Amino acid sequence: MTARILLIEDDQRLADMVADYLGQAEFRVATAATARDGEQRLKRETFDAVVLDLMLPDADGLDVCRRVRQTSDVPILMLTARGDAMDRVVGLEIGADDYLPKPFEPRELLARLRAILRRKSAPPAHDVRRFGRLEIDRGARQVRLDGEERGLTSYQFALLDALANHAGRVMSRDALMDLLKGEAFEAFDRSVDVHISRIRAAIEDNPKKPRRILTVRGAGYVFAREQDR
Amino acid sequence: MRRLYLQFYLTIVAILVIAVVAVGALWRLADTSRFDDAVEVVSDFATSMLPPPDAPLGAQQATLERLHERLRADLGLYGPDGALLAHVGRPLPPFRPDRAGPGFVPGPGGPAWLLRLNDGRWLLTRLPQRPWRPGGWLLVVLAAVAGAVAVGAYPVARRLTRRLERLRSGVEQLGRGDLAARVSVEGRDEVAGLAESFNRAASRIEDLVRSHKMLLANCSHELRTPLTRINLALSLAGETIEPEKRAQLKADIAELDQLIDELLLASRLDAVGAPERTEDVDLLALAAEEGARYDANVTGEPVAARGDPALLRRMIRNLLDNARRHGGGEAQVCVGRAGDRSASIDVRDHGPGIPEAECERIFQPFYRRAGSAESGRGFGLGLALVRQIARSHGGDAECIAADGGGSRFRIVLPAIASSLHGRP
Repeated sequence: MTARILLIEDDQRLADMVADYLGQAEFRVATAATARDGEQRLKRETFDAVVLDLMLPDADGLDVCRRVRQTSDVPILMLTARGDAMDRVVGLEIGADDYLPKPFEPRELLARLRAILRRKSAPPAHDVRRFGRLEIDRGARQVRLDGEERGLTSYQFALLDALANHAGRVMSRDALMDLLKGEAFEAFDRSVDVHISRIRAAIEDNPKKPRRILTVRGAGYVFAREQDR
Repeated sequence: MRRLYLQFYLTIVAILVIAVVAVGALWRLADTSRFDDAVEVVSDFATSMLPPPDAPLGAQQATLERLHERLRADLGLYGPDGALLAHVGRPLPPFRPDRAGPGFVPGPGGPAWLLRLNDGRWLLTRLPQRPWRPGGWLLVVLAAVAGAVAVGAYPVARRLTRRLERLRSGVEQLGRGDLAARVSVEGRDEVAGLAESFNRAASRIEDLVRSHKMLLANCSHELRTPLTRINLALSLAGETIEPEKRAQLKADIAELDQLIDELLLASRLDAVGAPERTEDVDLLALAAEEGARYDANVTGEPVAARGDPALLRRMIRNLLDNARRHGGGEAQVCVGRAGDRSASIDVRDHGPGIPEAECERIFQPFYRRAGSAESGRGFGLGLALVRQIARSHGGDAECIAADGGGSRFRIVLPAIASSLHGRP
């Protein structure tokens, strides 16, 4: 099944290029050059996702996003520019599902679009946290990278979850052990370091050069707050 | 228009009027004229009764004693040269005939009235009781007047200064970056005029900053849309471009993108001043994250600062980026405490180092090292931003000279005692 995408972008040439590219990737793309046009089409037709430019000649993309969200739960991917007043927090607060700063790589646009479509078709997941391409599903006690489940033991999941709860902070081994007191130990291995290297093997692109769980010598581990950026 | 000086002037005039009225009342109260009259009458009476100057001293003394019995006044009769001829009653104050004229002569027993007789003799008269105590009355009335003036002037002065204080707090509010600060305009004098001017200036500044921000936001977007087109075209061109050339073009696009980003960030920081969103940031964790991107070696102890996490990340990233471009090798990052209240981040590289003379200049935007053979590449805005971000967080960034041993940058930020590192 091919997904229908509505692209609301005022730059005609860019819109054509994106439509071409997404077309090659088997999406059906409709374009709208103004917020008015885009919103009208959204009312008349059904789309699987909307790619929305932040700055449109007749409206602010944030307002459009807010309005669309009031009537529809179609996934929205916002195109922004870094340094805009808009940033991730604002965009996600008003109901966008993801955002992508210009200039973007077409592959990245495709990946993000697929990710939000996948999320939409998946049963509504509660308590799922996303860090870039990584998803920690606390409901199902699963970890996914690019939507693919990565196998972790229950203790390792708890350890990863504890780290992610404190993303952006250095956690000492003692602090981690404290947080995991209630978890059942796995008899064969009690060292945090070994568990960390198992988790890395599961979720890092290159476990030798970890980007998600970092070691700070003499201090502990950090779960990176910004991943894949 | 009621002018400020008019207010002052009117206040002073009012004070004068009050003073004059008060003094007039004082004179009436004391009834001095009657007292003066009495003294003069006594003096005249004595004069008419006194025997001529050539009469014997005994006769003159007898006359004075008769007068003393009737009037109970102290009397003294002196020759033209001031020599005592006759005297009754208490001692009288001395006087100097060469300097004295008719009038009161002060003395320990009270003032005495001095009169020069037609024949050149002097008569000094002091009434037995002084019905008048000017000291006490004067003090009471003057105190009352002063009190009245003080009470009357207080609200005027207070109102004036209170308005000035409000104006000052408005100016300070604006200075702190609250561009919506305005003051209320009261009255129609200079202070009110100043308040109006302030409000006009403040709204003009607010407009300018707003349009500046709009311009920046539009700029960012307008510049990036064509950049996105170029990037897309390059990505979509497929095999028609050699991989090497493609990589170069990608790098150029990335550089241009970064430059736009830095320019906008620099002017945004200029316009805004203090960071807008702040939270407690674990600097060691931040350094570890950024260090992982740049393969830097990060060590240190956990320390937290309050700030905008995106800006602080940017600051560390720029230093690491600089180390990669101009240093080479694995950069060393060390996070720790500097004194009780400061956190420090040191970034060292293994490059040629920066001579002392250039340590300041390197923070200038687009600074290029003189005679540098480094492929003509300047420092861009990266280090200028590092310093700008550090300063906007109440800290600073400096370059520490190192000869040949690689360059060393040090950022110092105010540290906070954070819950981040306690046991959660």
